[in-house]
Amino acid sequence: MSAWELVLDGSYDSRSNMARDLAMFESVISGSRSGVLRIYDWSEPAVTFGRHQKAFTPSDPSLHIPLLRRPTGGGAVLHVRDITFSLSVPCRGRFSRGIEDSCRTVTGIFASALEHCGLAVEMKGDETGFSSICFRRSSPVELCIGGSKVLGLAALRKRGFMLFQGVVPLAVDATLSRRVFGMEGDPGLKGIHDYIPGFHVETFVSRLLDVFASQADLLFSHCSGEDGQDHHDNERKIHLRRQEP
Amino acid sequence: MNLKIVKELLELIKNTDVVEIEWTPERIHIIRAAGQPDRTAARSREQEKSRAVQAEKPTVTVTSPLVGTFYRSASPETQPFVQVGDRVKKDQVLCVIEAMKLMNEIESQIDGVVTAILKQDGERVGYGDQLFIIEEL
Repeated sequence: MSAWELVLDGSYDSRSNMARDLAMFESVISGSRSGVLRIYDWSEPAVTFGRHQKAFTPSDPSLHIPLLRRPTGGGAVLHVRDITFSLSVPCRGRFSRGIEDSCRTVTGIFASALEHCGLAVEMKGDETGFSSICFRRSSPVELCIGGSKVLGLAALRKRGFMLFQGVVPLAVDATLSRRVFGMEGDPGLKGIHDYIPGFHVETFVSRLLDVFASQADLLFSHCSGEDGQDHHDNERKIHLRRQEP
Repeated sequence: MNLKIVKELLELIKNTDVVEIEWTPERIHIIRAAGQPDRTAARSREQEKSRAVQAEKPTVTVTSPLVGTFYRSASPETQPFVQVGDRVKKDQVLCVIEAMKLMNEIESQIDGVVTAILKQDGERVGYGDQLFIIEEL
C-alpha cells in the first residue's frame, strides 16, 4: 500500500483555497509528497469557474462575491456549504489508465463512501454538451441522485501527474444561487443534507479513507489538521470546521 | 496544414507561372505552366532547394492523445503558450486539450523550434490529430 497524505484543511478564502490546491499538486509533482487528498471548506461564499471559461459575472450586478478561476476544467460552482476536495496523484497504479478512467476511479471511491452513509448515488452523466454552470449538467464521471447532480469533478493532467478538484454540496442557498446564476440556476439542485439531514462529514471522511484503502490500495497515514498537528489515520481525528452562512 | 501556411504559399506563387503546388512538412513540389521564362523556374528550384535543406532537420509532429477542445493558452485572458518560430524546451507546455472538464496539458517531447501550429484555438480535435510541428535543434 502507498502512504499518502490526508489534509483536513479547514476554512480559507477562495484565493487561498485555489493556491493551496496548486501548492499541494506542485509538491506531488516535485516528489516531496507521494499523493495528497485535501478536504476543505470556504470561509466565505465564493464562485469558482473553469480554466477555459470566459470570465464569469454574477447575474446580480450588485452582488459582491469572490470569483476565482480553477486550474481544472468545468463550469461555475457556487461554494457555500459543501465538501470540497482536491486530490493530487502521480499517473501510476490505479491512476495510470488515462484521465477519464482515473476520474471514474475517484468518483467510484466517493460513490462508495456516500453509499456507506446511506445515499444511493449513480454515475449517469451525459457525454455531450457543456453548461457554463457546473451543477446544471453531469458528465459520465460525476454523481447524481435521481437525476440531480451531487458530485462535480474536474481534473488537470500535467507532466505525468493529475489534480482532481471536486465538490459535494451539503446545502444549497437558493437565494444566493439565483443572484449568482439568475434563472439559469438549477432550482432542482439539492444538497446532501436535503437527502440525509443527519449526514455527518466526519463519518463520511472516515468511510472515504476506508474505501481508498480497500478499492485503491491507498492508505492515508497522516491527517494534517488546521490545528497544525499531525494525526495518524487510526486516530481518525477530523477537524473540519464549518462557518455557517 | 494551417491557414497561415496556405496564405504564405499563395503569396509566394502570385505572379509566377506556378499552376500547382504540393506541400508537406518534408518537401515542396511545384509544377509550372509550360513555355515560361527560366527565371521563374530558377527561383522555384531555389525555393525547393531551400525547403529541402530545411527538411533535413528532423521534426516531430505533436499529435492529440484524446478527443477534445484545443486551447493555445492557459486561460482566455493569457497569451498563447507558443507561437510559430518560438524555441521550446523538452516538457514545455504547448497547448491544453479539454475533454469533459478534464484539462490535459500537452508538452513538447524535444528541444526545438515550433515551425507550424496546425489547429486553431478552440477547435475540436480528434485522437491522433496533428497539432504542432517541432523542428529539432
